[in-house]
Amino acid sequence: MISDPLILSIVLFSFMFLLLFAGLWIGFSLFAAGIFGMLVYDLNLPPVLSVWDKIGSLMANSMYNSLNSWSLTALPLFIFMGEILFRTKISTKLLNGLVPWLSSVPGKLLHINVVACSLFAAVSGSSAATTATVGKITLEELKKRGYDRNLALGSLAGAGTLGFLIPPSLIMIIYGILSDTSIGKLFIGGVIPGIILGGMYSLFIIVRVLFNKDLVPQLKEKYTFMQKIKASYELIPVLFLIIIVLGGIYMGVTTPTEAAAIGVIGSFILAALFKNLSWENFKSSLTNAVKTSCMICFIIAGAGFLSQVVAFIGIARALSEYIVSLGLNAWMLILIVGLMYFLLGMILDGISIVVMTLPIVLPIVLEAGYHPLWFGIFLVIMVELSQITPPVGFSLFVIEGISEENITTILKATFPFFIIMASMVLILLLFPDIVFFLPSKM
Amino acid sequence: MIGKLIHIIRKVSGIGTCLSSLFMIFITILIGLEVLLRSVFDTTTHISTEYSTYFFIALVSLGLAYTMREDGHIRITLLTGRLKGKAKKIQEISTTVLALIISVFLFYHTVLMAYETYSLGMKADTVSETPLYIPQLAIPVGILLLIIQLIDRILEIIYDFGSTDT
Repeated sequence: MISDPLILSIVLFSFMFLLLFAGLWIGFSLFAAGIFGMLVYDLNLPPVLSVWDKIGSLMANSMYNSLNSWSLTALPLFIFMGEILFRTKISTKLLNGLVPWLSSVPGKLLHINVVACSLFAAVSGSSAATTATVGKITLEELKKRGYDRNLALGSLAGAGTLGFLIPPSLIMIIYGILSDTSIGKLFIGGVIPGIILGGMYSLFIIVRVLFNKDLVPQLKEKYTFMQKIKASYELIPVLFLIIIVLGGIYMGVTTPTEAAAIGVIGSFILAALFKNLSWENFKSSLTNAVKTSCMICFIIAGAGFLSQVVAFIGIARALSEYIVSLGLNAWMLILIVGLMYFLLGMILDGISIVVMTLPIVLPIVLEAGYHPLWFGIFLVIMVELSQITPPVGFSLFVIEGISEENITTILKATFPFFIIMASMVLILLLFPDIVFFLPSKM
Repeated sequence: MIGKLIHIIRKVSGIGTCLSSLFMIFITILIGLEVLLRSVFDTTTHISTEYSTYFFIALVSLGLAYTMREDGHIRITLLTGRLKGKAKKIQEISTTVLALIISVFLFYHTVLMAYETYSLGMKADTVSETPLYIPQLAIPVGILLLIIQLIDRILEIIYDFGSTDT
């Protein structure tokens, strides 16, 4: 029986990581760690109540309470929407619409990943979905036309992560629920940082190409202005979806959950128009969406229970008090928090990291004077980084699957984009107003 | 015999998958209807928010087993991915057994929770006054399916175990 909360927290988290590394599923590891925490803590229960009953009722209730959430209902819907769009011709349409415009920019089609991912991210809630949907078309096209392979792979990895930053975003939904921040405001707050990040990727590509002309094939693809306009019709489906999903949220007419349902219906309409709506496609997008939603929600339920335990046995408060007693200034604190997320990002996926750490980290960060809206965007970028940090980076796995390149090549190609993303964190720290500008206009 | 048992188990968890998928569609239709009614006919279903949340609880609970079967629940394979042969099987069995124990415990207590809600007659404080034990019951049903799936998993590993040894 341990009563000192600091020692208790060390024992608890060591136990949790032991289970995680032993290969127990993340959701179950969180439940097990919670049970363990209750057992080793010096509980002062009346003799009529057994510790197992207390644990059991806490577990059952936190499972129900985590799932009994209207806001969280948006999550499966956005996943479903992404699955439907993945099976449509939407990525081909994006490519056709963008090619004529990009052919006159230095670096030409190398920008296709950045622009297509930014646009697709505005209808997709996850980085994996964005990377997979855009990458399945662009990587092949760029290879066929003789563009530099490294820049193609790297820009896909970097820009694909915009799926989490540019709304809608699964991470923002989860963060919004856990931190009691408006999901609508988080969504809109991610727009400007997302555009800046995409802009920096494009700038990097232009600089690389200016110094090394061999990266771009010497093909002459000329388009007249009318041809460009004509090709732009291909972009209408994506723009239509962006408007119906984000427009309602921005104007305050729909909640994010309603916007998600509208998005699902809109995607079905597009799939029908593109003649991609076969029974096979429908069934596989539905079952895949169920699978991903259940995976995420089970982790959320486990983390919900663990955070109840952490609060109940006093770890959360003790850790906050301890950090405050260290007298770190706000910069130092956010640096340490950032470093911690970076390290966790190596072994865990983004959503698990957010739900596991937030109950402890959020109060500390707010205490230091950071705004919850700002910290949400900061967290999203940290999660994006975790998507492309080895050895466990989900975007890397997705790209490995569609490009058939080995992971070392992909990592090397991704590194410059990783640095750009990390510098985005710095920009966010120096100019926090880029987060608040749009939400304040809502 | 074990083959037959696994076959039956698959059938049962297939039902869970179907129901889970159906709830996804129900949510979409219900909210879609609400948005349509509100924007075009200036009226409301009254229950859209409440019931889509119940459907969501059912979607997740009933889909847990299917997700397990399809290896959809994620875990860290950084170290365990290097294990081979017997060590791999021991690791697989022990983590699955641990998951099974937690699931059984959770099953018992979610049944208890739903029963308590039922006996106290708790209702949602909305126009529908839905008895809350109904959405709560979805959780133990889903976890029961998960338990069956985990048993199936253990059987499969042990079964495979025997066949490679002989």
